[in-house]
Amino acid sequence: MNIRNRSAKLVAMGVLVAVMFASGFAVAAWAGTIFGRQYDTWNDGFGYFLNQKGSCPLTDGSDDVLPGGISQNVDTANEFISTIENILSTGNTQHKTGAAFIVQTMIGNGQGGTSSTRFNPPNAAQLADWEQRVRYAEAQGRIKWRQTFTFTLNTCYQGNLKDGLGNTKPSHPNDDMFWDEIASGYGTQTAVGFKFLNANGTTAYEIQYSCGNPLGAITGIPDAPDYTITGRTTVSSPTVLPGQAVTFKHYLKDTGSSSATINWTTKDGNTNATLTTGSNAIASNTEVNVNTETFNVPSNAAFGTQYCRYITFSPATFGYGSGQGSKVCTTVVPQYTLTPTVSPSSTTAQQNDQITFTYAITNSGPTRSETLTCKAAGQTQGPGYTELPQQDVDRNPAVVPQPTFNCNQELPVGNTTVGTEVFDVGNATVGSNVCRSLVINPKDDTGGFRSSAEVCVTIAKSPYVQFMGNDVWAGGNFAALNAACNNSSKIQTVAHTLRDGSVAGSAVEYGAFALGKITNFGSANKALANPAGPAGKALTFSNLVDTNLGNYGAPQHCINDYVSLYTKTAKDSAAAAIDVGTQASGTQLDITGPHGFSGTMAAGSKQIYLVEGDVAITGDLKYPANYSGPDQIPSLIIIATGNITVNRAVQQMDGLFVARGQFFTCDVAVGSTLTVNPPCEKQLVINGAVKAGQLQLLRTFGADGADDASRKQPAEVFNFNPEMYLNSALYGNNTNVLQTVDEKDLPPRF
Amino acid sequence: MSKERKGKRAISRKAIITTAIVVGIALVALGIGLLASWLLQNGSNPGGSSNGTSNDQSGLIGLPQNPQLKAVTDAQKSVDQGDYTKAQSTLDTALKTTTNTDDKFDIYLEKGVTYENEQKYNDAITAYQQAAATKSLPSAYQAIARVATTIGNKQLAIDSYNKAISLLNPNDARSASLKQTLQEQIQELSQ
Repeated sequence: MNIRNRSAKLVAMGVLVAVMFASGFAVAAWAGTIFGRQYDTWNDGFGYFLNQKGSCPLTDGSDDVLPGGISQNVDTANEFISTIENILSTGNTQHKTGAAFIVQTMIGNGQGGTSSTRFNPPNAAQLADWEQRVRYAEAQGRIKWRQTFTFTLNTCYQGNLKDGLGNTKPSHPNDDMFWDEIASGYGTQTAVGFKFLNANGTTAYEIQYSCGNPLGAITGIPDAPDYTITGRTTVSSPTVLPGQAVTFKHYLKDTGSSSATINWTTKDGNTNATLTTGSNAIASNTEVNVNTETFNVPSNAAFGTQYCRYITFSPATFGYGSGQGSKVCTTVVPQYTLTPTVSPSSTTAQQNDQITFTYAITNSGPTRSETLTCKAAGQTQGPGYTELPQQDVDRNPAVVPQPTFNCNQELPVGNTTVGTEVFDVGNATVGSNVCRSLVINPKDDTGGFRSSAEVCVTIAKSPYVQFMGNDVWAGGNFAALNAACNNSSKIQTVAHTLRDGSVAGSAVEYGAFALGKITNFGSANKALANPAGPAGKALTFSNLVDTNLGNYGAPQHCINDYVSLYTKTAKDSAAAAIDVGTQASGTQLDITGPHGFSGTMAAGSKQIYLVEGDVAITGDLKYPANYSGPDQIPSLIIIATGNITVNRAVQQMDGLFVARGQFFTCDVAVGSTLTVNPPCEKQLVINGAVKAGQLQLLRTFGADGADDASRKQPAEVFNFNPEMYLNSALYGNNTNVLQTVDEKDLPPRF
Repeated sequence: MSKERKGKRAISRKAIITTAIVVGIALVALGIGLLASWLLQNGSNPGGSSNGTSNDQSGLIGLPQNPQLKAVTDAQKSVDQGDYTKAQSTLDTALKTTTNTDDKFDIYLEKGVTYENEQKYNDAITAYQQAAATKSLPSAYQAIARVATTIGNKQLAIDSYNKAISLLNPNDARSASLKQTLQEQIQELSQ
């Protein structure tokens, strides 16, 4: 009994020692684990999720973590994530458990964590964490796709019913487990898969393509940094003028808890071309202006052009991905003010003339304008019309046809002629006004109509005078007024070139002589419009050195006014209004003015009147139409020491008229506005001769009409008629009649 | 009564002494067990220090992972950095000083995967064949078969799969499953 007891004690002691040794060995041997659950040979592992003991090999299905594996075409983070998440949502039980196993082990659950976090399936936060880590790994170049590697630790699915020999397994939980190839006697294995690396280059995680099994001494893959980058771009002004500069500023902001170094690129928002690249460290919750660009808008940039910028950057969040800020633009806009103008070729025109209206627009800037529309507006207005001012309105009627405008363009700063219009006056009524406005739209960068100040060309006429049958002399003076008689008088009329090239104007049939200048007064019976031309100056003798017009070199001289010849000591008396038709032939009166004269002389009647004062010709003074013989030639001489004023109604005056003062062909004030119609619209024909201190031609007859012949009609006609010569020849020195007492030889003589 | 009490007291003292001795021996045994385990773990790592992974902090107990040779892990790192030459050089250096058969097997296998990743398939087959020559394990022949399949050498692939099958333990459940997989590979190659 004692022996037996002793033996039993020794046996018990031996067993105890053996158990303790084994326990110590086992505790030490199991001290290193992969993901928390113990692992063993293929038939003795503990599941990752449930910690139940089970084995892998089977005959009633695959023991792969992901039966069918992961396609070797998967070689991006997105494809891998998509594959796993697709399995999580659509796979069978084994697949879903395998995918959850991969996700949980990749985010390190069980690696220093607690089993309570091993959710099968992973919750949303775990899945998001996993995605971030995978994408971050890819961004860091820490995923090696399609690699062959060796391994000794393997994984498998526990959940099938039978083992590889067809025996029913004692436990088959829905779980995956780790197992040891070495301990199972299979030795180190090789496989094709992909691996995730740690920052130091060591392997963090491996997965075999063909079966989806995590392999090797895996750990979770590194966590992604916690930051989110946003980018924005600002522009100094949403609008810009051509030639101006704008500033684009690009910002990056880190809204996470980690700082980040971000690579950025500024882009042209229109072409997406790269402008600038750089890299900046962005502190947590900080915004940094990473780039500032001053952009000079080309001066010829089209209006409406947008210049846009944006920024792209990477990583964008959690260490991976890329992002971009919103595009900002500045738009090229115009800024200008336009002033339309119309300029006529002259302020007046005559019938059958052509008026050229020049349409122009002044752009006061600062930029060129937009394209615009132009319209010529206006019509012929009556006399007395008041031109419209510039107005910001449309204006009508439109001129028909419209001139050809060059307005469909952007006008530069300054003045631009946009069109011309040639207006044919035709038979437009003299006194009417041809008016034009230029209407534009837009008037400025805000748009709208603007009509120019209206411009009117008055249709006028320039009455003419003609001297027929003798010469015209100007210069010298009456000795009673100027003892030296030194008056360099000039002949100054107007002329007008008609459409057919002919000239309508004033002229003398023979020679024109002046001690002063001769302007636009023709000789040799041709009107003169162009002093440089050959016509109209053949018998013109100016006494000034005036190109092409003479320099006759005549001396000053006194003009005989006959006053002393007919002055009586005792003055005669006569009615204020003298009808020469009722006066007896031989009448010779020295009377004090004023006196009015009118009437038709009787045949053979010879009358001489010296009026010391002014004379008014109140009615026609005519010689009879027919004579029966040379002695029947009438002779009328009216001499005034003052002025002779011809009444507006008078159309014919026959005789010799001398006025120390002025000879007015119409009874209106000199300088007053003359109209086409009354008071001076009738032609005045003077048959005889006129001597006067100054000849004031005030008639407005002629110079208009339906044709050029009408437009050449003179307002006043001075005919040196034959009666003047005949009386001189017949009556010699008889002072009772008209006689030649003063003769100037004017070259040439005919 | 007194003798009995005396005897009981004597027994009680003896039991106490005996128990103390047993506990002491048990503790010594436990310590020896721990030492033996440590020696087993570290004695098989002539290529370098253990690259053992983390501790289990979940409170559960697991088996030790099989630590890879330092030369192998260094080579893997070089491969991941694209430096295949350095990887092979590291492995070749380790081979010169390694006498352990299992370690030599692992080194040749690593040379094979390095060549395979470099797409030097013939060199990979050679390395795997050297591994198989060092230790005839199915995994070496499986690797040869895989590379042979890649380069289109079906016969070598089939022969290698057959060789791997022949090395499996027919009474092992894992081997039975693996055999089925390998036979499917052969069937696929034979089509």
